Amino acid sequence: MPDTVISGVGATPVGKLAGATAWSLQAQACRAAVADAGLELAAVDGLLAEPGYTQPVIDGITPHYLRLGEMLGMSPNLCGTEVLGGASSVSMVQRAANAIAAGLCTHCLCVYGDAPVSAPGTFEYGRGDDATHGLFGAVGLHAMAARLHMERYRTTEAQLGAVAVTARAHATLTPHAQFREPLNLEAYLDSAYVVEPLRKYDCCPVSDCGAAVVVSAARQLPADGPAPVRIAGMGQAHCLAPMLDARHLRQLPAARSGATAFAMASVGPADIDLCELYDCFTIVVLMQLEDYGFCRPGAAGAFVAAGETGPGGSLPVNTAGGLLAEGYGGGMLHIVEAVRQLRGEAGDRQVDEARLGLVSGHGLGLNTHATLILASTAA
Amino acid sequence: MSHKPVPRPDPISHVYWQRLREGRFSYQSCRACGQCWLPPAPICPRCWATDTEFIDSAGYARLLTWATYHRAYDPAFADSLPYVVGLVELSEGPRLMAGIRCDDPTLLRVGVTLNLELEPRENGFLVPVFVPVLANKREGHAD
Ligand SMILES: [Zn+2]
Repeated sequence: MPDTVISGVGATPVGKLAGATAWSLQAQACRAAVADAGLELAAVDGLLAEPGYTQPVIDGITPHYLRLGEMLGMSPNLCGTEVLGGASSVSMVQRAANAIAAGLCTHCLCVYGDAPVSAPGTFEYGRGDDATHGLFGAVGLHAMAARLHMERYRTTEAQLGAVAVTARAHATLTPHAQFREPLNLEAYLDSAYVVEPLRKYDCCPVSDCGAAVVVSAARQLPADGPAPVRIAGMGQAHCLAPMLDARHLRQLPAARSGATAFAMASVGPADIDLCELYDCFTIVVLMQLEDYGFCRPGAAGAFVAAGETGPGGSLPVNTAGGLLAEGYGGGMLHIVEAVRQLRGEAGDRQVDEARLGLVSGHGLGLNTHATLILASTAA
Repeated sequence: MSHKPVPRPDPISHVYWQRLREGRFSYQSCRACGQCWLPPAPICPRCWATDTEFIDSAGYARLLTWATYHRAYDPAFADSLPYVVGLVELSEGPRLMAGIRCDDPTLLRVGVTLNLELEPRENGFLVPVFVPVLANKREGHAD
């Protein structure tokens, strides 16, 4: 994708935002991203949205982009709603880049926003007959994946804890993060299980947050805008029939998604300077480090415990704290953070020599996965 | 005291749950290619043939992985805490998520042998659960 870039990013605060609704947060994030890109409103001709969990319940079957587009006064050349769970944000950027490369539009907004803290909808934990068996929520499936990793590789609870501790270490350097207080391993191990082997600190919080990026044709940027970040590679892979797939809960579709993205970008794991990995639960950080090829199978626990993914480590991961500590931004905050790092605008948490970043999205019951490889164009 | 959720049969899973009501735990099989699977589907997920049938399972399985709930997301499970849900592989091949009835989850291991039991729910439903055959409790759980 040599001709497509992320030209602007924007986000609201993260956490409990009194009076917020999903719509208001999405609108705010769109406004911020377009302003950041330095674009005229009329130049934005694409709108892709991820509805979050609260608004679609409230508003029934009305297509999400229709309501949002009306609020934003848009008549775009491309629109759509992405429903890949935590892979939606990365997937929206891919759809936008593909559409732009095909000439369907020029500047496409991709937005996530939800207000589950301040405007909770009726979120149902169990899905279908899973609830009959007592299987509720993504946490149960991720606990099974964690248990399997521990059984196969002797991964320890302390190594899962190291992921949570590292996320907080990054967040202490991130002014807007939801959880900036440091976490130590003792406090982690003293906390109660939610779904064993996962504890409270293994699970990302719910947050009110809106975040958006503008994907643009590289040749159509305003002269005085920020340094664009090039979309160097992308991939997707999904597991839609988990009961038939022996890899389910053992290996993420990240392995396939990553291979596609690395090949497109003509780079490998050793070339990546930083990662923003979707981290709804600590275990998926370990699995992704292995499935993307940053660590050999079973080695990610020791890698994280040794500090390699922390501030100043050999491969900083989730440099603003990720879902676990920056707060839940639907995966779009991961893209926003990668762009800030690759522009050299990440302040105290700036990674030295940040040239190439990998961003992932992982969704539903370990079903969906999407990968972006982003490249700095800053001098 | 609330009751645990009952299955919600739809036209695709109706036969599966109806056979369970009769005490028969079954999986679906393709007459064209022999593939066996759960959950029920309108088409063979391997060859897309529509000529499928339900076959009674012998009720033997092994545990692939599990999760131990310490929180009740539905109050009906509060009295059962901590309780275990596992990914189970039947001896005939199909995999499914199911409750694992187990007094001491710390004894569970990947590969543990499981035996089927049927747990009664409201409205005459029977739900498959699995009981591990654990080394130091072998006699207690033998059929
Ligand atoms: Zn078949």
